[in-house]
Amino acid sequence: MERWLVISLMIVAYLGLTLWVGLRAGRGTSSTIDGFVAGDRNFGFLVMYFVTGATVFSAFAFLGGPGWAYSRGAAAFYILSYGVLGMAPWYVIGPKVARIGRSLGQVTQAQFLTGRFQSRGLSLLIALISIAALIPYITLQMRGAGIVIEAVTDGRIPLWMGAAVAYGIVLVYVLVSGVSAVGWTNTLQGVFMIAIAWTLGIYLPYSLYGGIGPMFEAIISQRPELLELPGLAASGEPWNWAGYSSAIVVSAVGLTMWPHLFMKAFTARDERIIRRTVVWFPTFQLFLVPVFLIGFAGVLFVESLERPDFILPHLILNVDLPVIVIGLFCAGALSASMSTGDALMHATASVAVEDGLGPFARLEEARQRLLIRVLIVAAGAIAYFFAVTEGVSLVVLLLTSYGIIAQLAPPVIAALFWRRATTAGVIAGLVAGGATALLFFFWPELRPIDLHEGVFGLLVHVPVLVLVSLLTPAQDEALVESYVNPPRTEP
Amino acid sequence: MNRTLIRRIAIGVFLLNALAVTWPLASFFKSAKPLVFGFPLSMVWPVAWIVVGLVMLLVLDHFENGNQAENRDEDQ
Repeated sequence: MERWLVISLMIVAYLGLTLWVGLRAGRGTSSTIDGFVAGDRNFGFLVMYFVTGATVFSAFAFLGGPGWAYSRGAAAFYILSYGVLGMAPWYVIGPKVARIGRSLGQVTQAQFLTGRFQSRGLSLLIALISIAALIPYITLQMRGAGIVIEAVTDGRIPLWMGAAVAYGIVLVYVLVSGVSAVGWTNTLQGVFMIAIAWTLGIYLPYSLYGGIGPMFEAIISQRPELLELPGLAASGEPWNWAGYSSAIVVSAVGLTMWPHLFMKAFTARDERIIRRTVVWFPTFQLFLVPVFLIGFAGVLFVESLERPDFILPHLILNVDLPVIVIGLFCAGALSASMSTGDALMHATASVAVEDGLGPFARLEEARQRLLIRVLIVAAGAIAYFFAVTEGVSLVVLLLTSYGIIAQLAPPVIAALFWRRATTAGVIAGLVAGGATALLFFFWPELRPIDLHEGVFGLLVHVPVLVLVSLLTPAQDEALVESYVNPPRTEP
Repeated sequence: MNRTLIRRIAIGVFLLNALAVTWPLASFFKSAKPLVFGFPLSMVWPVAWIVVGLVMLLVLDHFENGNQAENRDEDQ
């Protein structure tokens, strides 16, 4: 049998398995908004662990990670550095958010924030920020899936068809089972990703260089600048420490503020499970080690690839691997793409309905769930349009969105820990911080030093939040108390 | 040891972690040589901090959870 046919069959088998798991997951979940968006707040530890891990590690980690290691060397190590730093505060924040959400019946990030800072405008603002950040993210995942399938079938299944099939399946299980499907498929996909990354990450250096040590020795002797921090910039010139360090800071601040991750606090069965998820998250972070090994393995074997994101498929196809390994790689890459994509699509639609529309129009539950399902399809369709359209600079959009998403951190911290924060202060801070980040993104030459635009945003955001809050009247004591000191209610 | 102390230590460790992986502290560990277990020093340094973070979170969680009478560890 021909190679591409064997691989296609393996992909079909894998997608079938995912679909089966996703459809089964919905059984036993109530047909309410709580059930569809927050899984009846009944996720156990194992599912939460993989949801968190597999959602963070997207197609970007599986395709972009090796691409960064290959083209920018040590610069990729910033990705190693921010994960644990970003997740650790969640040990304190996550359970508190979950407790407030349970007592006030919240299922989204904007509901959480507007519960304390009551403003329909704020809800809409957060919804718009979230959707603007989520759509390019979904698009990247779809492109990732399409690229992999196109590459390994030697172009017989083009990008548009591969992306359509993979995401058609995601659509089916998310529509039927809601967030429960995201939970159980991510568990399956997380196991796949980790197993395949470690297998390839060790196999490739051994088969190409005779070991990990010899591989790095060879790279150091031929490209000594590559492995020295802070690595190289996209242009191939050495990167600077300001850019490297501020990328870590902004990514760490923004990590748990992504709506699709933040919202998962509302899905946990109890606070203990959120804490344990945070405690074990670093083990997921270590999965980046083999991912980078794959990228480094390509350094001396692949002559300057035009698009570094293709390093992994390229290497896989040109190193004469057994066909089963290639098939497994495909399943791993699709896992990475789909496990993030499903959570993103689900979050986008939930946010649009609950936060964008909810405060302005009273809808009964059944209508809301129908509308969320319609919008999941719409979000998928928009992202798919961008995914198959060349020429839209997605990486640019995604990089901007991190700077903007990080602006959601000060309001969350203020809601939980600062009694004197006011609605006016939070809105002013968010607008000022977001505008500053956008300004320095579009006009980088205005930056006084070469820091990530999100850092400038935060530097403006925090003082504005504090100052405007202090100039406006303090909030009602009971309201503040329900956030700063939420009642302990275990189910 | 009491919980307040452990919490302070945890905050201290993660602040140190943030300083260690960014400029200027990270610049002391920027070179590829020496190789540690075959990996370049510049890569081992952030990986080591992931392990430190894991250990710190395990210790913190042990003490946070220690004085709860029932240890609810049911998995799904």
